[in-house]
Amino acid sequence: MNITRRDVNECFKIFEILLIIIVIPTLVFFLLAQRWPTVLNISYTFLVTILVFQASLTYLQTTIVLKRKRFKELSTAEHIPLPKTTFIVVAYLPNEVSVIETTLLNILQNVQRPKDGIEVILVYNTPHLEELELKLRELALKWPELILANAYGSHGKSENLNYALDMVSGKMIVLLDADHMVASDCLQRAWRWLDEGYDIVQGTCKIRNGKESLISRVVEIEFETIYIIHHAAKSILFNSTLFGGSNGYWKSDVIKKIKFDKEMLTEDIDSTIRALLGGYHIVHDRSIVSQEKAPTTIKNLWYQRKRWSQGWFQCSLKYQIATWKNKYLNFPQKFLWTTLLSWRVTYDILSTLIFPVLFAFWLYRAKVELPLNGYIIFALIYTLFSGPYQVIASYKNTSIPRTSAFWYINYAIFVWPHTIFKSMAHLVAIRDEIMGDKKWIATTREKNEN
Amino acid sequence: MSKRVLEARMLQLLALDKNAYDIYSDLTEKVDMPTMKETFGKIAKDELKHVKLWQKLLLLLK
Repeated sequence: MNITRRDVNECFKIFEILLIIIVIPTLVFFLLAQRWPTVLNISYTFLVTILVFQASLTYLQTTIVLKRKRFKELSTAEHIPLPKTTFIVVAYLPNEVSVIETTLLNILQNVQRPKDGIEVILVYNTPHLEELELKLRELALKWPELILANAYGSHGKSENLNYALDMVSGKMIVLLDADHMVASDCLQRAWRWLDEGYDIVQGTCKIRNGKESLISRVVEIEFETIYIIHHAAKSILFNSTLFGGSNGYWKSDVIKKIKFDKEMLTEDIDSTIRALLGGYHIVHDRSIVSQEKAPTTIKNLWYQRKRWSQGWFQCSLKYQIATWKNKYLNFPQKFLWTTLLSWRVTYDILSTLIFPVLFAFWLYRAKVELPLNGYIIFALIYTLFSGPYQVIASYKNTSIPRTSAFWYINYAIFVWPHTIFKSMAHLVAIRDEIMGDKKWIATTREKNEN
Repeated sequence: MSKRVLEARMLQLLALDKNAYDIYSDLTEKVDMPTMKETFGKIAKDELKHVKLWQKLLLLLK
């Protein structure tokens, strides 16, 4: 593994966070306990209750989506035929050279077309002429639907997307990352929702390179729980969900109004919230499946998760109050967006504090023991089993091809270390945002990509 | 040639001309030599004319 200066800096940041969120609070709690011994018990019980609340949300969401639900047409359906659709595929060359041709050919050769056809805009930026660009021009000659748009001067995904939006001629727009392989019937499945009055449809993203490493395998199962359980449950329970950046289907006029903000690290979440605040409606359909690649190393996974967390934190700061005041969101939706925004940040910090409280307890008692009573035992079992319950539900409802049950069991056992890894990434992301470190680092999915 | 294929080809060419316009505009700003600056500026204007022409033709096609 190639260790760069940036990687070393990240390690220092982790030590910084451990100092601020574990070591110092441990000493604070220990000193408080000298004066007021009940502080430890009260703090411990409070923090355990926070974990119980979060686990309850998981149980609720999982139970809601446990049984498969068939699409039922609403009375608002207008039965407008599937219109001309534009696929916008975003790529960074040379990073995504290995995947882009496969992605484009999958769309051009396999997707079932509407009567008025499709267009596929590959929007990319490249520091110099790539051999692939010449190959792409041959492809464009063969396929008139393929438009090559070099977003000259663009520095990121948002700018690329906005560049492509100015060229779109379709009534529905599909946004895809360069490694996404969509299903052939994706357009029909998405359009039936837009025809009913929704403005954006988010499909399920399934990992296709799980076999490449243990990391990608963990991410594969994690994505199953995210898309099969969490996003689907939000849509059913609250009639609100989010656009995840890829495999998203937008009404053209809506996305051209919303566009993408280049200042935000997660332009997808930012555009989601602005769409919701503008009164637009999003639905999640887990039957619209596209396959993508996961990071294969812990280093790449770290940077990806940190960027996502920092982007979510930016959105929390920018939009939480606006969601509370918004006239288009009902109370349950405001509750949902509170759990996704400010509660997410609060939870990340508070849940980590359980360790300093426990360590302070050990120091105070001068021995290592778990403070237990009936409530704590219940909470421990309750929270521990929320992960496996979620995993069982996602295994039951996953689309074909289904990964071996062994890997689901593996994930259920190791979900806690993965959760701690993600929590650490969240905390470092908060630290970076506060310190003004907002560098956008593209996710690399191959072991030898840098 | 069907109308759909004609429209698709025109959109491809529009994208290429827009890209060329972007590059020439950028070069016009960044080069220091006056002769080059003037030349790139003229080419950029030409490319912009092409872009507008394609847009008009596409409207006609609709």
